[in-house]
Amino acid sequence: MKRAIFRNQLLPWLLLAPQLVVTFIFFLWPAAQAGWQSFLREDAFGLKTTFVGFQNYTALLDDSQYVDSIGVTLVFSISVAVLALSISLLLALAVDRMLTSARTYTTLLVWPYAVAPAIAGLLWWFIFNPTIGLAPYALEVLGIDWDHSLDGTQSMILVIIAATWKQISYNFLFFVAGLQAIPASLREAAAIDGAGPVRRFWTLTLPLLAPTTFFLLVVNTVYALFDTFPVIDATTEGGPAQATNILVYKVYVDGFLGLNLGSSAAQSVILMGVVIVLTVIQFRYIERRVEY
Amino acid sequence: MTRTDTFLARVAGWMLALLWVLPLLYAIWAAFHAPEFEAKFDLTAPLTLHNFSRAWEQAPFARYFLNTILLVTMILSVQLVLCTLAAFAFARLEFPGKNAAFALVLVQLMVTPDILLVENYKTIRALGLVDTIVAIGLPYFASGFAIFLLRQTFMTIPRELDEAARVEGCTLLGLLWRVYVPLGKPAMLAFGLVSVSHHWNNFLWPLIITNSVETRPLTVGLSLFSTTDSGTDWALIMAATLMTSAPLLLGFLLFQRQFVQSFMRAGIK
Amino acid sequence: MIRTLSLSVLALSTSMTAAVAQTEIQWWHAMGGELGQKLEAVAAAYNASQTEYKVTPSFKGTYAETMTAAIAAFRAKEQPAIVQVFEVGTGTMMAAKGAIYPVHQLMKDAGEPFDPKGFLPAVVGYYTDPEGNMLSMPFNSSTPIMYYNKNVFEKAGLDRNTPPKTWEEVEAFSKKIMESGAAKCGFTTGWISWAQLENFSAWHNQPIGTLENGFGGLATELNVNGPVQARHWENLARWQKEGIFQYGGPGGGSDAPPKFYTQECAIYMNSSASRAGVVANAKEFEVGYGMLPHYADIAPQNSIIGGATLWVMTGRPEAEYKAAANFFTFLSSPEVQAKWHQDTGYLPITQAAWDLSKSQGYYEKNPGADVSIKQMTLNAPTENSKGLRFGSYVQIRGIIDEEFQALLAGTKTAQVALDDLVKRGNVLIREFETANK
Repeated sequence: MKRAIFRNQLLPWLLLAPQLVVTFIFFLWPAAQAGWQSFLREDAFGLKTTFVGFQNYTALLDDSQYVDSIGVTLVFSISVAVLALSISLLLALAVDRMLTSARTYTTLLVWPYAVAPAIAGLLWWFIFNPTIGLAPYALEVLGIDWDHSLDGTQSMILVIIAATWKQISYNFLFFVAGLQAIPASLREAAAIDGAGPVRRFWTLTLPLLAPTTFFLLVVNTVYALFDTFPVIDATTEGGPAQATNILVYKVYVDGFLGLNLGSSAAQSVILMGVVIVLTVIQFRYIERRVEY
Repeated sequence: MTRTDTFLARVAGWMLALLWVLPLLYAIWAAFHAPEFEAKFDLTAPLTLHNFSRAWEQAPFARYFLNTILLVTMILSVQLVLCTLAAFAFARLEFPGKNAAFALVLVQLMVTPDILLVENYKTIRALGLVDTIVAIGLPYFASGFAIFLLRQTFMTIPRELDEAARVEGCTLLGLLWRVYVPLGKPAMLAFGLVSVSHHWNNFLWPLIITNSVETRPLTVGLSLFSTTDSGTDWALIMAATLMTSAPLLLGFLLFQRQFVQSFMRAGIK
Repeated sequence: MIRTLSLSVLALSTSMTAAVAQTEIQWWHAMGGELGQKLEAVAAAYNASQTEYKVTPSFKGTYAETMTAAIAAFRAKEQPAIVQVFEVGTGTMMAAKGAIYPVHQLMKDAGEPFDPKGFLPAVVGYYTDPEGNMLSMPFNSSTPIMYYNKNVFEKAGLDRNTPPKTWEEVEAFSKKIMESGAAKCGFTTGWISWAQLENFSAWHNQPIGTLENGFGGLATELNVNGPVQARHWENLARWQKEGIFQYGGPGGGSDAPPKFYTQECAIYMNSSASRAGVVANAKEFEVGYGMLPHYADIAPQNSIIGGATLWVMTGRPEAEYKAAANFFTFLSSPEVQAKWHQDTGYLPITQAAWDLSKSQGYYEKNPGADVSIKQMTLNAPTENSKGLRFGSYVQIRGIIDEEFQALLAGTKTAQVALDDLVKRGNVLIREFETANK
């Protein structure tokens, strides 16, 4: 008996060890280094280093561009996460009810995920190109003058469409996988009880989908905040006049293009802080309601 | 719903579907026509395969395909094994420090990608792995994302199944193999798809950490065609894009057969 | 010729005496597609020309990606011997004293024959320190020029062989073109920052920054908000409203080429290196070439270059530097340079290569190919027109685009937009100064 308990205490760590080692070396260590870097002023090659305390942070908060970028990020991330989640849930439910054409739809819906994010951005850039794109042509018929290189709102719409488009496929997949996991017997029982499709969704499907939905909520938040930069880069480059300059793109511009390592590290730290806080909130307040 | 309503809903549905596939249609159009038609939608424009042969000649794509397939297979298999083990521990075992460990794994998702480049380059160099396929994959062997997903899935599996298997004298691995893996299969399939496409399309890290044709994946080959001082050749980019994502699209087709089939079975049961 | 001959004799003799062990050096570059193939051909030709050294080119993405890769590698002590860096990275590279091996020093240490006077001043001036020493090896340089649609000109009743010379003519021609219905818009341009501000300033002999546009030291400040630039930007905004000018987007302006290719705009300004691309895309009309326009009351000076140079990085074994120096000698030889120039459309970097191309009849066969060289060498460069050297310049280019967009959107006047860009740019320049002091 004693031996079994000993084994059980060691077992979880054995199972986790490879994960934790890789995570530590390739993620946590660089993150810690970035934390340290955010207190330094350094040239690109690391030849001259000065400790500057919180100067990189205070400089950011004094920068009106940075503050604007926070607002832009909020609009962009919330729109992308909400749109991508709700549209894909609707689509997954629709496919779930189909018998004959489910396969065609799945293929149709999933393919954008096979396209590299930068290419997806390029394709949307092309479709909305004011000179040669199809969309501005169609919009002109409706009396809308489209030029996202000058109009900040249109530019934002463009990046939201492109980023959402890419993420819908992904959410759709996991929603379909989640729906599959719902036992048919439960659905039949509900149907026999005479519950209509809308009621069945709220009382049965949605609660049972909650673990998937929660997972996707966290992942979509991270996606909208972190992984959308190739799309921005290929479509608007943060413009016009910073209308689509989300925080992660600013990190890229300042760190990768501008080689201003201290400031970009400080921005990364702030961004990671925000995402961690968001995730903690999601786990604290939302996961509690999820029944597994 | 009246007939006109259904009709209108259908039309709207088709319009949306059209918008959905428009980028793909455009890519196909540009890839199969001469460059001068990339902005001119003339239905009588002659079709050509010339863009594909031009793209194929400009980079050793055959080798890049091989490298990419090796890369994604390696990453996915390691991820599936390691993450299943870890997700099981998080979903079903009780141990001190569990929440902290899970938080650490999740933090992985929240690290800004830009800060990884320089430090990971140093680490890979210390391991003597610069310019190898393993170096491209190694940092991704742990996937916080897969662990989170599988944990969510495993938590929905009824504990009775667990206990039944244990009563029958299953070892831990047996339990995983007989209960958790089969029931987690849809999630694993979905994850597999996501992981494969992500690493198939991953660009910056492979570009930085490799130098030679023998180790580089397709995306690096694709980036050869991006904008240069002499202007962007859309037809060429689109041909190269289709070429490099074609195997992935085919894989998707095969995959969704599997995916939808298991789903249908679940429905019939 | 004698030099090449003696060189090959030298190479032959050393290859006979020295051990067979070949020194291999890495050359990281940012040339994709056909340009990349031509670059590889240069390396292959060098490798075939001798047996002692081997240059291995490796494509590292865009210019920015290549630079970041080199920096990451340098910090991990895995850097290549040679890396290609774009012109706006010059300030960063020059400031990194311990990371770079200046080319003039390299050539001297390796005992390679090297004559800085043989290079075109307008090209190497950009990469020379205040004492006149060459820091990096020019490789692919270009300058913005004007392209125009001859067929549209003719349709509008203009002379198909006379491009507009002044901005006043650009406006008048554009109006005529639009009124006649020959095209919807007068002109468009790539690179607002590079073509319509930096080169515009140099071409009109106006300063971009203090201390000789930054050549004089890190304490430089932008002062590109002078009346001449303000007048030009004000005009661009007005022309955009009147439809004479169509904006091509930030950065390189990827919306601009389609406007010219689809004959929507009659005139187009962009890099001389896009010439091959323009000709390939202009299937249904004939392309004419001209120098950049200037305002009638200001005589044109000379334009400045863009493109990239090859930097040598420190921290490699000694033998690799001998290889790099030897390769640079090969690279700047007239034959190799003339071939590279003719194959790619980039500027020749030496007088000898230009002369060789002339004697080969290249410019007669390719009208327009020498507009760029003539424009760049029109006058001896002044301190306003030899180039620019500021830290964090990639980001400053971004700021230029943003302020220009604010101008076009009507939220700022030209003077305010320029003042703001100077103010914001100077903040970055000061940061760079403190980080690199």
